Amino acid sequence: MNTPLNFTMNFTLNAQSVTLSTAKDPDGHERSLLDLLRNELGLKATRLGCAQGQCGACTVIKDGQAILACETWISDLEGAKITTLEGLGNAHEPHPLQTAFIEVQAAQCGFCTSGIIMRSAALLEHNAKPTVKEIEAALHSNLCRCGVHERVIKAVLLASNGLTTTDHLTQRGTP
Amino acid sequence: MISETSLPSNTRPLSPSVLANLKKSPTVRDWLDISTCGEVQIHTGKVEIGQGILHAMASIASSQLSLSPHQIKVMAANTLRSPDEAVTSGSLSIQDSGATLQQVCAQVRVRSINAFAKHYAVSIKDVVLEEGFLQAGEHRAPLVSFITTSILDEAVSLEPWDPKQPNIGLKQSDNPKLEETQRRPDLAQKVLGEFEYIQDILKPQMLWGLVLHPRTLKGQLIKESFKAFESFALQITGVTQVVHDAALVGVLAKSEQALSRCNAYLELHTLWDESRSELPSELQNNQVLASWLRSQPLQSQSITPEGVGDYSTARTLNAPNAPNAPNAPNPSKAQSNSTDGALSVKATFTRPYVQHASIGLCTALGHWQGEGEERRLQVITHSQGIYNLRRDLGLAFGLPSQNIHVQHHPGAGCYGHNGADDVAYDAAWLAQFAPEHWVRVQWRRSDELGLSPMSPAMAVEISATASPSGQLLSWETDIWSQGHGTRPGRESSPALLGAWQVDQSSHAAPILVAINAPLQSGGGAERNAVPLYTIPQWAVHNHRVLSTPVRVSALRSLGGHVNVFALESVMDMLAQSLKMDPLTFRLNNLTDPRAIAVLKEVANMSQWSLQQEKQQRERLDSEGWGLGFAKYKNTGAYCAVVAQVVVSESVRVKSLYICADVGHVVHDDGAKNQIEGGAVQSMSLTLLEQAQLGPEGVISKDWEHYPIAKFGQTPQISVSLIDPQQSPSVGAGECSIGPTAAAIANAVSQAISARIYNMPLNAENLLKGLES
Repeated sequence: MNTPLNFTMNFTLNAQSVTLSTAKDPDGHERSLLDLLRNELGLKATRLGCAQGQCGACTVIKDGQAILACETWISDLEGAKITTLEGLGNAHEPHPLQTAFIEVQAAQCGFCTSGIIMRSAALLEHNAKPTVKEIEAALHSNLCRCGVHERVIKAVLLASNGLTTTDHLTQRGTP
Repeated sequence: MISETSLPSNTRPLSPSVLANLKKSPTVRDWLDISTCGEVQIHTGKVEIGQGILHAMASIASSQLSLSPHQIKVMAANTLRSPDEAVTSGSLSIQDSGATLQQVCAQVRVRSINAFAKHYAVSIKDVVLEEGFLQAGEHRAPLVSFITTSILDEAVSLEPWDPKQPNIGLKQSDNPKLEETQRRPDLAQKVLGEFEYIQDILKPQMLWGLVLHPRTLKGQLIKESFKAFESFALQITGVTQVVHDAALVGVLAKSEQALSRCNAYLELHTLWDESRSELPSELQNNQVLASWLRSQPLQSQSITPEGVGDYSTARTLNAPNAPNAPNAPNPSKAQSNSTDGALSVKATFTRPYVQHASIGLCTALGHWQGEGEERRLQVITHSQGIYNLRRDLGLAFGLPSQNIHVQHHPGAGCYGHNGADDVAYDAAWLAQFAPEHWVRVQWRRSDELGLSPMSPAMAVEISATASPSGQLLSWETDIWSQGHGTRPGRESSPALLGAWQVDQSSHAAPILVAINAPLQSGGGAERNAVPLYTIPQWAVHNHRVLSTPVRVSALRSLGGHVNVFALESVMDMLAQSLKMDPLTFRLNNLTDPRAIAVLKEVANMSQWSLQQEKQQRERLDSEGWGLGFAKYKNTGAYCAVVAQVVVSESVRVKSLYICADVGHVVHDDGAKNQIEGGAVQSMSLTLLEQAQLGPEGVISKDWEHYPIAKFGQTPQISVSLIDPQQSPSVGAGECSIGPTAAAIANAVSQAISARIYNMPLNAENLLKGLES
C-alpha cells in the first residue's frame, strides 16, 4: 500500500499541468478525483451529490468523455486531460453552452447545472448538432429536481452550432 | 418582473402580514440600508432556496427606486441583522416580504424626492427619478445621496403610499431593460461555476464532521458495534475524535477523505438496534395504506361553509363508513349511481409517502466559543427559517437566543422542510467537542433520503352529487393523513432530529407529532380540499393520524398535491357521468372570474375543444387529454393545467399547457420557471415516486431505489401568465403542483378508459386499476 517516495504523476487539468507526489491518502488508500478537485485544488464547481455514481452532479470531461469524478480514482489519471466547468469557460470567454444556459435561464437552484453542462459539452464535442432525443439520451443519468429539463434541452440546442430557439420549437412542436 | 406597461401602485391598504412585519421591524433601516460605498442593501427575512427570491426582491426594489436590480444587493438573512419573517414557505415570500419591501421602497423614494426638492428649492412635481438619478431641470444627483440617515431611521408608514399619486417621481417608461431584469444574476454565477453554495464553505482550522443517526426514530446504539467502529475510525489518519451521546454518533476529522473511509465501513456495518422500530408492515404495501391510515388514532376536525368546527356535528351529508370501521371499503372502488335524477360519485384516492430528493446534501457549519454566560454558538445553515432554528437550537442546548447567531447561506434546491435544520443541530452538537473550531457536517445521500422528514401518505375519500343539468349539489371529503408540519419554532421542545436521539438525562427532546397549520394559513393535510366550485352543501373532514411511524413534514404544496388530484378527478368523474365536457362542467360551477379566465386561457392554449372532439371521433386508445385546476391554498395563485399523455406500459406526459394568475407579476421568467419546475416535480411525484419503508427504516435511500423524473421522461411545457396589474402579487412556486397531478390523472383516465385512484400512476397501479 505504501507509495514509493519518488512517485509522481502528471495530468492536465483545465489546460494546466498538474503534478502530484502521490495519488493516495496518507494511509495509502485511493482518493477520488472529486476530493482532489474540491478539497485540494479549490475547484468547487464540480459537485458532490451522492458519491455513488447515481446523480451526475460531479460530471467532468476526461479525454473528451463525460465521467463521474466521484468514482474516478486519482491514480487512473496519469496522462489524462481533465476539464471541469471552471475550465470550460468564464465570464470573459464563456463556452457557448454557458451563454445559452444564461440566455434560457436553464437552472433554478443550479446544483445539478455543472454536471449537466459538462455532459452536454462532451456530447457537443462528438455530435455538433444533436437532436432532442440525442440530448435526452445523453443527459439521462444527470438528475435535476427543480424540473428545468425542458429549458436545458432548449439551451443545449441553442448552443449547438448556433441554433436558435425556433429550431427547438420545430423539433419539439408547440405546446 | 416589472411589466412593460405600468408599475404596481401603492394604493391598496397594507395586508395583515405586512403590518405584522412592520410591527416587528418598524424602521426603514430594518429593510433597506446604504452601504459605506453607496450601495443599496435590502434586508429580507426570506431566503434563497433555488427559487430566485432574492432577484425577485431586487426587482421589487428596483421598480420602486428606478435602479437596475444589479445596483441593489439583497443581503443573505441572518439573525443579527435581518427582519424575522419566520419561514420561507407556502408561496408567501412575494406577498409578505415583497409587499413590505414595496412599501419601504416607496417611502424611501418619496422622502428622497422631498429632500431633493427642498435642497434645490424646486417643486416636487418637477422631480423625476430615472436610472437611479433624481433630476429637476439642471439639477441632478444620485438617488442614494438623498437617502439620508433620517430617512433610514424613520418608521415605515402603515398607510399605503400616497394613493392619489401612487408612483410619484417614476416615469412609466423608465423601467429597467426587460431582458436585463429577467435574468437572475445568481444563475450566471452558477452556470459559470462561480457561485458559492454552503457545501463549498471552508473555514480556517475547520474540522470535517460526520454525525450518524439511527435509521428509525427508536434505534438504540449497540455499544460493541460502536466500540468496533471507534477503533476502526481512530486508525484512519486525520480522524481526531469519535464521540457519542446515547444514539447519536459523531466523527471529527481533518479531511473529508478520512470521513469517506468511515462511510465505507458504515456501509457494511450498522451501529444500532432498530428492533424497537414502530414501522408497521402495512406501510410497505401501498394497497392497504388507506385502511392502515383509517385504523390509527385520529384527531378529526371539520370544515364547512360556517367555518372550522367539531367533526361529529359537521357530518351531515351522505356519510361514508366510519373512519375506524374494520371493513373499510376497498380504497380504489368508486361508486356512481343515479337516484332522484341526481348523479353521485364516491371514490377514495391515495398517495404513499414521498421524499424531498434534493440533488445536494444537507450541510451546516457550527462553531462554539466562550464559557458560562458568554458561551456562544454560530451556525451557518440553508434552513428556511433562521429565527425558528435559532429558537430550537436554544431549547436544545439550553442557550438564550442572543447567544446564538444563525447565518443563512444557500444550498441546493429546497422543496419543503428537509434535513437543513437537523444538520444544523448536528453541526452544533458535534462542534461542542471541538470548541473554537468551525465544524462542517454534511449528510450523506443515505441520510438525505433516509432521515429527512417525508411528505405523509394520504387517503382522500370524496362523495359528491350533481344535478342532471350539471350543477354541483353536495360535496363531502374525508382526509386521513399525519399532520404536514414538524418545523422548528413552534413547540416547547426542539423539532430537531438529533435532539431526539441524545441522552434522555441531558437535553433529549420528545419525538414530535406532526401538526397541520391553521386553515387560514393554508392548512396542511386539508390544503386545497375545500372546492372552489359553488356547491350548496359541502363539508371537509380532516382526520389527523396521531401515530408517527415515520417522521413527516412539509413538502411543496403539502396536502394540495393529493387533494387537488382527488377533487379534480371527481370533477371529471361527474362530468363523465353527465356526459359533459370537463371544461364546461367546471365553468358551469365557477363564479370567480379569475378562475374562469385561467381555465379559458388554458383551453385556448391547448386547443382543448378541438382535442376533445378529436378524442371523441377517433378514440385513440393510448392518448388522453386532461384538465386540472386549483387556486393554491384557496387564497393564492390560480392555476389551470392541460396534460396530454400517451399510455403504454407506463404513462408518458407529452405536453403540459399551464395558465396561471399570480396577481401582478414581479419577475415574469422567474415565475414561469417556478411554475414549470413545479409541474415537472408534480409529474414525477404523481407518476413515479413512493418511499420504500422496511422494519429497519427507509429502504429508498439512494437514487436507484427512489427514482425521480429524468431527461427523456419530461414533457414539453408552455406557460402563460395572466397579469392583472392591480391584483396583489402572490407566490408562484407551488400553484402548479396539484393541478398538474389532476390533469395527468384525468388524461390517463381518458387514455385507458379507467380511473386510477392510487398514486403513483406507475405500471403496477395502472394494471390494478384496469383489472378492477
